[in-house]
Amino acid sequence: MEIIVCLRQTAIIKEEPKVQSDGKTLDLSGFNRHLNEWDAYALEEALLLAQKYGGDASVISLGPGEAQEVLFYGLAAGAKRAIHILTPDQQHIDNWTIANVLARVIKKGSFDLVMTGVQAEDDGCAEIGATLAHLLGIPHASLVMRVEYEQGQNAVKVDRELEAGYVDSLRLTLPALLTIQTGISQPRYISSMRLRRFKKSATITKVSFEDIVSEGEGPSPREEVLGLYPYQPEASQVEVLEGSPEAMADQLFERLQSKGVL
Amino acid sequence: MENKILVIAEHRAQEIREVTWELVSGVGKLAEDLSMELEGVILGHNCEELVEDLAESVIKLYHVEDEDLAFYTWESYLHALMPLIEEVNPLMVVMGHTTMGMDLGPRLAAAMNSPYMPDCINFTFDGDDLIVTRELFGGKLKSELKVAKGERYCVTLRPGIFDPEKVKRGGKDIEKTTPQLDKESFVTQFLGLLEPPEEGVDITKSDIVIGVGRGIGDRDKLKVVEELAEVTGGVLAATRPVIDSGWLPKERQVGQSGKTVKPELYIACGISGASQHTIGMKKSGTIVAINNDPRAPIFNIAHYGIVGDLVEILPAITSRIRSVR
Ligand SMILES: Cc1cc2nc3c(=O)[nH]c(=O)nc-3n(C[C@H](O)[C@H](O)[C@H](O)COP(=O)(O)OP(=O)(O)OC[C@H]3O[C@@H](n4cnc5c(N)ncnc54)[C@H](O)[C@@H]3O)c2cc1C
Ligand SMILES: Cc1cc2nc3c(=O)[nH]c(=O)nc-3n(C[C@H](O)[C@H](O)[C@H](O)COP(=O)(O)OP(=O)(O)OC[C@H]3O[C@@H](n4cnc5c(N)ncnc54)[C@H](O)[C@@H]3O)c2cc1C
Repeated sequence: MEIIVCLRQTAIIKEEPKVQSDGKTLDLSGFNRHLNEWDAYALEEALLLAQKYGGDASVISLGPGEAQEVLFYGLAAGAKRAIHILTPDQQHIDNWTIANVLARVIKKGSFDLVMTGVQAEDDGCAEIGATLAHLLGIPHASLVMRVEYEQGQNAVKVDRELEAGYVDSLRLTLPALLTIQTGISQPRYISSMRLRRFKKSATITKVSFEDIVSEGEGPSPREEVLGLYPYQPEASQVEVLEGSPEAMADQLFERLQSKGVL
Repeated sequence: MENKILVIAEHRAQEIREVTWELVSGVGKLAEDLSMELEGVILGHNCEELVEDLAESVIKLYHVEDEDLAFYTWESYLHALMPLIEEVNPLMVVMGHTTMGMDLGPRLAAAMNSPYMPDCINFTFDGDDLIVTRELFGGKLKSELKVAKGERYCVTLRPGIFDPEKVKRGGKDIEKTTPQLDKESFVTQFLGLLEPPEEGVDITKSDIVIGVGRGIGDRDKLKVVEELAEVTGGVLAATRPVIDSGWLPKERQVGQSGKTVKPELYIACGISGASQHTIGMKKSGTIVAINNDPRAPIFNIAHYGIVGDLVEILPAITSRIRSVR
């Protein structure tokens, strides 16, 4: 089974995003970045499937130079090949374009399964996976929590996680695309020594974003940012308690008691 | 172009899902403000009762009936919806950013060749331009986007932002249609819908719920939260990452894919406040949030906030309560 895993490098969202003076773009310079949480699970599942049923997992990412970090991570975890679609620094590229460019590059090779994460933790769009499946002309299932390969049928049986504990079970004819939900397995641990070793010696195939765009009709961007604002709730009701842990504990206790909830 | 918004209804286990009521009431109001008409579509099999129920809340309801639409799959829905959308010709197609919307939305938008705007919390039109509001960075930022002009738009709206009122809007105008589904060519086969498993502890029954998130750091530190649960007589619940790590069983998960709780008191410890978690607890009577990041979005819905390290703060709260028990 040949599996392609889409990996996205994301800014760590615990850090404070700074809106630039234009009010429309973010200054993410100096932000720590890592492999999108959901993608770590997609990668792990791909490696487990390849190990169980034979075949290889490859990794692909679209992003600026530093995005290669997640590809080295993928190689260190056990992926056989890595493709980096190199984009100009600081350029905001919308989902429609990302999906189109990923599809054009993925189509050049052969594959049985494409895997993505359910969503990216910073934007949370949950858009690329199903869009990519459409552009590749293959079936998809999102929020996947279990995958079983049916060799004889050239299909996969998958479970999708729905709301409130419901689960959907589907059979997809291969090739297919799956978006993977967290918790499907435990992503393996990669030591920093191993990662360093791969960064020194492993090869990543570089592809130019502009070249791929110019191969066909350029997908035109479908959104324009009008403004970015720090979130201000309409009516924040929060009373922030201050002082030492003991002082805050006292105040909280008092309030909860007077409200009758303790 | 027709000045219409078409809402795709969701149902599961013979019930219209709450998100559908949220959309018909919330989007319906927005549509009225914009002088647009709200129409709906429900796809299903043997679901006449649901059709009757929903028909009053929209100006017109399309009922697409077929055996293969008894359960949602992207493929059967897509094939049934495409010709209908052509015919109805709405300016915008709307669904919830649910597990159905996330699965169908991008694919339907791509098939319609329309811009797709996922997980919006608001939308409006400026002249002919669609403007949507979304959250980024787990709720720390809001972004306002202008969507490139399309013949049609496809939007998913976040569940839980509108009240699920059953607004009376139409006069039960129902149009029943049977789709032409080329089932032979289908590459996605529905095998079954599994019900939620029976479980041990029912966290929805307790008046006090202590929610623990990834901020707890490691399994050993769960002890400080367990002690608080014990002294308050509450139950321990958790966010998805804690469950994914195997530190607590799945029956303790609060949120979209877990349980919805409405206790009198919810104490959120080391929880950032992602929408998929807060949808399961934001209706709690009193919410206390303890987080070392003063900008964590959980503070936006909390009544009392404590900024600091939960490993220092929880024992202080526990011992304060213990001192009077
Ligand atoms: C204000 C703002 C500024 C931005 N600035 C930049 C910037 O300067 N540079 C930049 O590169 N991005 C930037 N982005 C991010 C860029 O717009 C997103 O990558 C894009 O919107 C994709 O959305 P998503 O990751 O939420 O997709 P989702 O649909 O949520 O992602 C789902 C899955 O798709 C796959 N996937 C998504 N994106 C990629 C990818 N690029 N490569 C491989 N697989 C992928 C992953 O498997 C992921 O789990 C910015 C975003 C915003 C809001
Ligand atoms: C379709 C779908 C369904 C989902 N369903 C669910 C669901 O049912 N339930 C759910 O919870 N999630 C669900 N999620 C995941 C959700 O998107 C978030 O990833 C998750 O809620 C984040 O959990 P968290 O707040 O524990 O972790 P994080 O977002 O990592 O937040 C941890 C917080 O702890 C704080 N912190 C760190 N250290 C300390 C310390 N020492 N003291 C105090 N605070 C500290 C940090 O500042 C941060 O705010 C779902 C996602 C998807 C896509």
